[in-house]
Amino acid sequence: MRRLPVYLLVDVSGSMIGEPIESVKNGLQMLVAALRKDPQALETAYLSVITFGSSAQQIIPLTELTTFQIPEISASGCTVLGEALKLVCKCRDNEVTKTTATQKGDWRPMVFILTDGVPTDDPSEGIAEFHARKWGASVCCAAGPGADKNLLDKITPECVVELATADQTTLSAFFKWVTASIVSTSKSINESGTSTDNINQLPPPPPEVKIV
Amino acid sequence: MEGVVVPADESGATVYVAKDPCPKDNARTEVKGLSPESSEEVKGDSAPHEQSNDLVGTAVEPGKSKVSKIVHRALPDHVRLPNLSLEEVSRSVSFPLPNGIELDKYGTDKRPWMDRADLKIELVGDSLRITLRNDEPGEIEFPVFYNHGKESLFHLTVNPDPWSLWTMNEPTDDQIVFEADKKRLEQLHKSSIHYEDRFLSVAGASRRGRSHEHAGSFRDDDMGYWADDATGRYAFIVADGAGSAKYSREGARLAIEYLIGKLPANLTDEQWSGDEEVLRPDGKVGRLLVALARHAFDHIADFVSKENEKHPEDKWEVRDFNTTLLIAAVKYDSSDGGMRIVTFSIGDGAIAWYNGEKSGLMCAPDGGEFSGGTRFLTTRSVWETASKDWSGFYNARVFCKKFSPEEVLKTKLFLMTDGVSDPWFETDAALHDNDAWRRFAEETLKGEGENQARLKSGDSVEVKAEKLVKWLHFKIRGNHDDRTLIVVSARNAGGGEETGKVVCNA
Repeated sequence: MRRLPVYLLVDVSGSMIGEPIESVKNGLQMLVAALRKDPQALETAYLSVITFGSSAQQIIPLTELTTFQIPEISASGCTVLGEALKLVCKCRDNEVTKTTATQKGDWRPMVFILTDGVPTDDPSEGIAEFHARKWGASVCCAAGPGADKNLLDKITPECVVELATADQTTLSAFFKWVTASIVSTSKSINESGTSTDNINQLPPPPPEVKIV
Repeated sequence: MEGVVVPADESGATVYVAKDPCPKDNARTEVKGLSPESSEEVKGDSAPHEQSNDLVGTAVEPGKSKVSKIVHRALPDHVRLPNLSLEEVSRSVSFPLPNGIELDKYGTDKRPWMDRADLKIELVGDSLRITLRNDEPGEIEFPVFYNHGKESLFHLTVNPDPWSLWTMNEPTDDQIVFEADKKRLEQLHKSSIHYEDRFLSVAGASRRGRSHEHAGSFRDDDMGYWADDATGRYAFIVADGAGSAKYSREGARLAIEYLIGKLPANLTDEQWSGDEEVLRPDGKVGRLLVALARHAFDHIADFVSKENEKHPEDKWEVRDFNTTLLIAAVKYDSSDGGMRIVTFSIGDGAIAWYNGEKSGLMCAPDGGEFSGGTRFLTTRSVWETASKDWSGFYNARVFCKKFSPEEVLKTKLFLMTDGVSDPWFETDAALHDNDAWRRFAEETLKGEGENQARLKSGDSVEVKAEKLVKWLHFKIRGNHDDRTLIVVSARNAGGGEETGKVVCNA
């Protein structure tokens, strides 16, 4: 069966301590619970969570929704976004099945990157690796005023959204939108056999989430 | 302390491990009077749960002077259990309790966790078994009391049975756009065809996919056939309206209606005469099928522009009517009992024959391309490209095959949309594989199991069509498209008198 891989890259640097990281956990909980109620998402979507603070870690490998468990996430340290991009490429190469004559590959993975700050490593290599692969609809989210929107636009050109603050309300709105995007993509896959590769094909974001 | 449950081994048994394997000072309680040297940590097997924090202490049992050593193990405050599923197979989960954990079975106020309306929790050997009692998916939390007053909160996620999430919805009035939609509502969920004459028997079925049932939209697949018993001329067509095109159901219908209307007068005996001029991609029949398909495209384009004149505000586009087309023209030669088949197709799905031993794919599916770039009958660029190289177009898309009288009797012809070919063949390699077709023809269509069609050789075509309709609701994860299949088989020579009937069914 062709899976719809979804990679969630979450900034867990020190600035995320407190409300932001708690909101991310709640958001994740809500996302998974909502996706489990949708038959097409439940069957198709596979989730992976990659965190980046002082180091980038794939804390949940690509996992079917039925077995997915909300990970413990705690925030500390710096923001190695470049390392996270390299890691998601590596995970993609290892986890996502390619189409060959004898097997049907997965759909192009969706990627959502959430960060509230400026990378502390040099992300240029990571960006180059990221661009060397084909992805489904991929979105960077600048959570709060501290994020570097110009840099994020280099990762996912014209697919950057912005939250005014990284608080419970806005992050919850962001995760709802991510949920709706995964649901609509799995629906599109099921009904028309085409995946969405562009932010314009995703549902319109709520007022808290502004397209940059 | 947060704990997570991890699979212990391949057998699927699960154990919990403390998230932090290093015991913190405050988690280690030593009972006064017991010197550290004399405490004995139990080192059992190396299972992960041995990493959990130990509480080592001594206790004096009342009424006895003997000091016995009791090893307490602390469960983490929170224990996350492996997710459960509401499918019949996995409504209960067991996990082994670490050594030294004793469930508090007797505290009167703590008893309720043993028996709840939604769960039953029991101790089976050294394992805790949790069994669901209702059909409510979601998150369940329950405390587990152990070792005289200690308590852990257990978290359990219950997944719904995925098949229970699909709903059945009907199109609303505002979705009725075309005259044909009214008739379509009568055959919304399914339709079937069956036909039999002295040469051939035909059973076909089409069924709305689960994704359309869930969304409350129309079936976009369509099928049709034309049969002329007197001359042994036939045509079978399936069309799959593109899920991404809002009026594709009408595109599929228009294409089939047009072709079934034109074929009788055009696909004449004269067209079929002479093997050499017929049995090649750019032969008479192949060229005719392509020309008619091209006209079907023009017909749809004309329809769209006429409708736009009537309702300029609608701004319909031809691509709103995108549909695939798979057509098989069949000529039964009553003089010798042989059969010739010429096919033409655009888009995914499959046309193939299978003779009990070998198979032959009579189309070049477009679906293998990763870009989701299925081409359609209604894709203008397909015809623009074709007009630059008709010979290349015929060679790529027209397939011909002659069957000897002996072969005819063993051979079945299948036409299917990708709603059937994707789940049963998955890849282009499988569509070319004799064994994959054997499994489809012998097991999937004849088998008695779940998801199998139970066709019997003695079944009438009506019964076969009914069985196919029923079967087309098969459950295969990730495959919920509309499904259409036509099965054509030859009858024993002399299977009946000439009826002279001509049947058009679009």
